Amino acid sequence: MRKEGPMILTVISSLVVVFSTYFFLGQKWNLMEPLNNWFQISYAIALALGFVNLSVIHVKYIQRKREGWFYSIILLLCMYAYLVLGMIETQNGLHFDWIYVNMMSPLSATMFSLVAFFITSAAYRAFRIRTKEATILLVCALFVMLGRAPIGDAIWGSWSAFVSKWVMGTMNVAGMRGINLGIAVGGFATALRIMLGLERAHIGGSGTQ
Amino acid sequence: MERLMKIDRRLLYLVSVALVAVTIFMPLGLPVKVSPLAVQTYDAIKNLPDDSVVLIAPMYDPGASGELNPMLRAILYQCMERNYKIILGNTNWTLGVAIAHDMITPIAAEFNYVYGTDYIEFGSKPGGAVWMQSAKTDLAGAAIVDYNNDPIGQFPLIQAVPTLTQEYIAAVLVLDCGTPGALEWLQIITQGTSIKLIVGEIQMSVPDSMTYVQSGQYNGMIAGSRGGAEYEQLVGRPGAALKSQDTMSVIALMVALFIVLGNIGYVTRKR
Repeated sequence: MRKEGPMILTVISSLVVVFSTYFFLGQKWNLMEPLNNWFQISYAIALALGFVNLSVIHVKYIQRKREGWFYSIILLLCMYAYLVLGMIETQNGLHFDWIYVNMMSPLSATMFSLVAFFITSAAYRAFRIRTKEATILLVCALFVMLGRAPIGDAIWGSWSAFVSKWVMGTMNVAGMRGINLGIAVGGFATALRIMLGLERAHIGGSGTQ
Repeated sequence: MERLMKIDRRLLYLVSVALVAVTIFMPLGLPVKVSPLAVQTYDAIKNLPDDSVVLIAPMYDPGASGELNPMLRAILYQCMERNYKIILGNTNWTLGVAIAHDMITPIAAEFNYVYGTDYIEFGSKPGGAVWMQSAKTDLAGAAIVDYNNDPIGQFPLIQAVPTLTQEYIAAVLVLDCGTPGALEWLQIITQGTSIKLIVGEIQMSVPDSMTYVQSGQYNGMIAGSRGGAEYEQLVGRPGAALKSQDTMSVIALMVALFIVLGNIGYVTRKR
């Protein structure tokens, strides 16, 4: 029953979703509502489970003095201190909110800002005209990059905007639509396999049958 | 010549910082032409019926604020100038609502908007796409409390908008930088309805989103920092995006130049 139980649940849940999405009666009865509530509850439980799991892993790191174990102490201290503060002050507590906004915001912005430097360096090192395809890619990239900034207009006039727009709106869209359609069909096929019990990786099975 | 292939990355970083600093203090003042896409987006919001209710979802975090904050500011000004009622909030992007709260508060005061009647902030709710499905059929039930932790059902604006359906809202404006984002709003809330979906995208997401603009599923898109600058001009409120265009220009030129130099080194080495 360890494998059959989750599979039965998966099939029932997916049938409810299909019925409530594609059939008038399903929409009328609003069958998705309880399923959505269960999802939110499961989400919260999964979060708690992740919390426990993270604690166990990092306590082990500290016990075994693995490389970087000091960072595990910082992680656990921050995690539990913030949890306790959140439980005392609740979601919109003054200090709870202040710490999140004033620490997470600059840290997150800093991380993203660093990407600009890496992209500059990566573009310089990676864009080489090794093959014909790489040359086409390089030329397109230069036109789009300069065409998306006012300097492109200053150098080439309206021709820059035209080329940039054509690359983005014609070449790019054609490629992206192909990729998106492929993803959609692949997703549908995978969903069908899960519903039919052929795909079992999510319940700890060997993956496919 | 081979040396051109091996320019120290620290030099690249240094030149980048220097160029950013120089253009901040000595702007070039390059003109920014407004694109047809920006005009289409502007018109899509401008042509909503009077007294429309719009939902603005800041689905981003501080990492994307450089590109998306100016768009949010311009959109807020445009909506308030048109007297639209605003419901502000998102799902799963907790810092996005904090950024938006700091932005909407002074603008709302400027236009004498009354909280709860003319605009409301429901904060950030966990659940992503699943939360959107719940909000579609019962907004107050899904949101429960507002940004300030007060019961949201008591506010007139929420009482007037019981569900996120075309009977009650005219447009969803999404500032988007990942998942969940504009695509989830499209799939769950706007697809197959008369609700307009307008997105503001970071430059990185523009290629993917362009397909939805062309298919008409997105009724407009503000594309990256350049799009933000164009939009600020259309709204008549020049701001950070317009100021940043000189920096964008010199950095793009610098990267292009280094790429060309690297390739000159590569070609001459082969010979």
